[in-house]
Amino acid sequence: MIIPLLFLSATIAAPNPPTAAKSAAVPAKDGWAEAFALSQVEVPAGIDDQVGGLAFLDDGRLAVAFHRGEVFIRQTDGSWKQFAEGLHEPLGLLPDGKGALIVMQRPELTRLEDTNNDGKADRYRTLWDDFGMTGNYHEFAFGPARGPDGALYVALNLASSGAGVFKEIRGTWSEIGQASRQQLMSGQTKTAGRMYSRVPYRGCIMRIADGGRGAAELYATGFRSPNGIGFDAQGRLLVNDNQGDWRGSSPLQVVTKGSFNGHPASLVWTPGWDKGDPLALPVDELEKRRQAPGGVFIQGELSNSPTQPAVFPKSWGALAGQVVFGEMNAARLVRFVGEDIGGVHQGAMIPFLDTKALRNGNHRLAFAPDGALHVGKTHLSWAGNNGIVRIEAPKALPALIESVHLTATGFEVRFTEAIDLASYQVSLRRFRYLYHVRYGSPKTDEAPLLVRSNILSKDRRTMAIELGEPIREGFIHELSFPGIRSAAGEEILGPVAYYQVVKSQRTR
Amino acid sequence: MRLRCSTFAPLLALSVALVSAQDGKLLYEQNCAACHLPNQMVVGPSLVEITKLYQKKPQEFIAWSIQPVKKRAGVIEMPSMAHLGEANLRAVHGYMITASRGLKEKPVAKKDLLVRPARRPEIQRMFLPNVGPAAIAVALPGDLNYCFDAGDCRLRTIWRGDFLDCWDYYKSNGKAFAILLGQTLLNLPADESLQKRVKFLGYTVDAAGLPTFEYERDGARFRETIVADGKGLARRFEVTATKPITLTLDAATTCASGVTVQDKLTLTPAEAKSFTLTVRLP
Repeated sequence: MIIPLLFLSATIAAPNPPTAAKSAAVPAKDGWAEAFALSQVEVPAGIDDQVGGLAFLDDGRLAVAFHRGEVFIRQTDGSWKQFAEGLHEPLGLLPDGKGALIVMQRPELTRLEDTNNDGKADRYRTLWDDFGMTGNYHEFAFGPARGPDGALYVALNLASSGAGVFKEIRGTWSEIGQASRQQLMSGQTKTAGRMYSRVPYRGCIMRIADGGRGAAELYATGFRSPNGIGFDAQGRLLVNDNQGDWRGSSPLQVVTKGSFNGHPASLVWTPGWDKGDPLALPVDELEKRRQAPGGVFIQGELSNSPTQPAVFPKSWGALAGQVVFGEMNAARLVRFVGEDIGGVHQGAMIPFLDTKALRNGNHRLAFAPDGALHVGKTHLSWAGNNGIVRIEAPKALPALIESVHLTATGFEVRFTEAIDLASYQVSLRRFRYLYHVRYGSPKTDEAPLLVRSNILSKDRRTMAIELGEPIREGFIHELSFPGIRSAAGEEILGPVAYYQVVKSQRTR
Repeated sequence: MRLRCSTFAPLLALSVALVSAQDGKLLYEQNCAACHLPNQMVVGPSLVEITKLYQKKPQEFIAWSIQPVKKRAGVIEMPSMAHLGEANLRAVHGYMITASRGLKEKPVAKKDLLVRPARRPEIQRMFLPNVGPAAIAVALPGDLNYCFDAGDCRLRTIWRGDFLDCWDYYKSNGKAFAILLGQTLLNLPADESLQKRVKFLGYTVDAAGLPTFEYERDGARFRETIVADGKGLARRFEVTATKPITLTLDAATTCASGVTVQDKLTLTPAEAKSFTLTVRLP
């Protein structure tokens, strides 16, 4: 049976003055904490337990790289054994076969090898260090992520005008930019741009062939502070970035070879670049070059500093194959449900584990062989936390938005459980962010959306929402379901989705 | 069927009027909390300090938030919060004052709570003074320490004393060098031109924890192990080369093999297979 629900405009949301969004995710009782089992993983004693990298080995043991350069492996009996030490701000960890781990640290991509099988690395093999460092504190290095092509992908942070550069640098200095090397050496950063790229490949995604042993190539430009790099279940390279200059709200970029992903500073590393200072280019021209984000982490409501993506394994039921991201600033994670529309991968961001019990600082994510999600925390000099939280794979998923898909006339929203029709209401609006040099962006061009009809599927889990107006490309479409409950009377956790429409029509 | 409609103007007015202290908390959490903690300076000043500065000056607080300027050395300029609007900023101001009530500024930790004596040998990659940014610090058994610069593949600094104090680096999130503890005995000046001639390959660590650095220089492959030798250091090399190699020696360094003319040491490929540089130190 099909239940047609004819609405005439459920749209009361006036174009808001930007009041705090009443994030639909602040329920009276903590449904998330009731639905999921969270626990703290005991960390090694006597260390700074901010987590830079976290991964499970083939044999199921947990390997963790910590802030001050130690790598520990948690043994099956729960004790920790130190595997390596002395690394410089490791920010990613990847198992690489028996007894080896690959880490991305500030100065290089390094393979840690235990050649005599005593459980301790005895060779720190430099796989790739052919990139520049000015000594600027913000030149973090992220990754690696292993692609379906067997190559490793890493992301290099820009420098920040919060500091200058060292007298002595690594790599060839680029003269492109208003601030001189002398000025930056003496800490005068005013004309440098808020974030800057004066040595090779800062702000770029790099591909290192053959599992890190082969040649390195510039894969994509346009990043600012890409503290999250990984592949989705279909092998797409996902890299997120942090709200700031040229980043109205933190984007999720679906990165293709040769793409420019929005922040101009790194354009100077484009092979054959002859257009001078990219910061001096007209915004229109940058906009034309720019690959639009496939998803947007809404500043405030979802994430101010998104981090590592991870793919839900089979044990997470209907969420399997979807992507979950960490978030530094809030006690929350974010799910991304993507689909291909008109040759573009785009989709919806949905709040996840939005509970104080999780705490903030959610930096590195990995699923254990038993499906438990492990979240390593950090803060550095920002808001955040420390330690490791374990979230069991649920025996059954609670009531959630399972997925959101674009249709020819609107959206199809699927829930993990049958919904209670009496509690159903949808509020739809669209907005977008400005693409400009300034830090962040207000939501602009906000408009409520007219809903023509809601049609609930026979199993009462899928709602087809038809809009009374065309879907607009370039807009984030917010679908919120305040107060919605399952047929069993449970509240739907995280009842809001933000769908980034790059393309509105499937290719025919 | 449900039908909801309403007039636009009254709603707008209502939503502005509704900006209350409650919203101040949410607005703070969504827009400010990443950089402003209640009682501790992180990226920006704490709510305790903001309250001291602006408690009775909401208008100045709003003006600053709309158009911030760089005010403090070594602190990043705050992005404008103009998009929040005056009413919301007033609510944030109110919340910050409420939230800091009864709190005291937590002093910045002057010393590292995790400080421990160096394990000798010990290796730590770190930002160090007067070398390149890809530096590796090593504490040797005894009281000597050195820096091997992975950027130009050279021994750059030797110092005698305790190893490192990295707290300045950690507490500033990498904006400061670690301090070399003790007395610096040798520091070679920068020569960025060397970078093009070398390729750093990494290091192995022996059972005692002592590193052997591996790198290529002008096509020759070097293995270098540095050990304490009396009051000085012995730099033991194993080099695979097809042509003679030339090294520039600093004033403290000599070599028993090869030919030294002024400060240039030349070794044949056979001599280069195994040789030692002796570094005399005060």
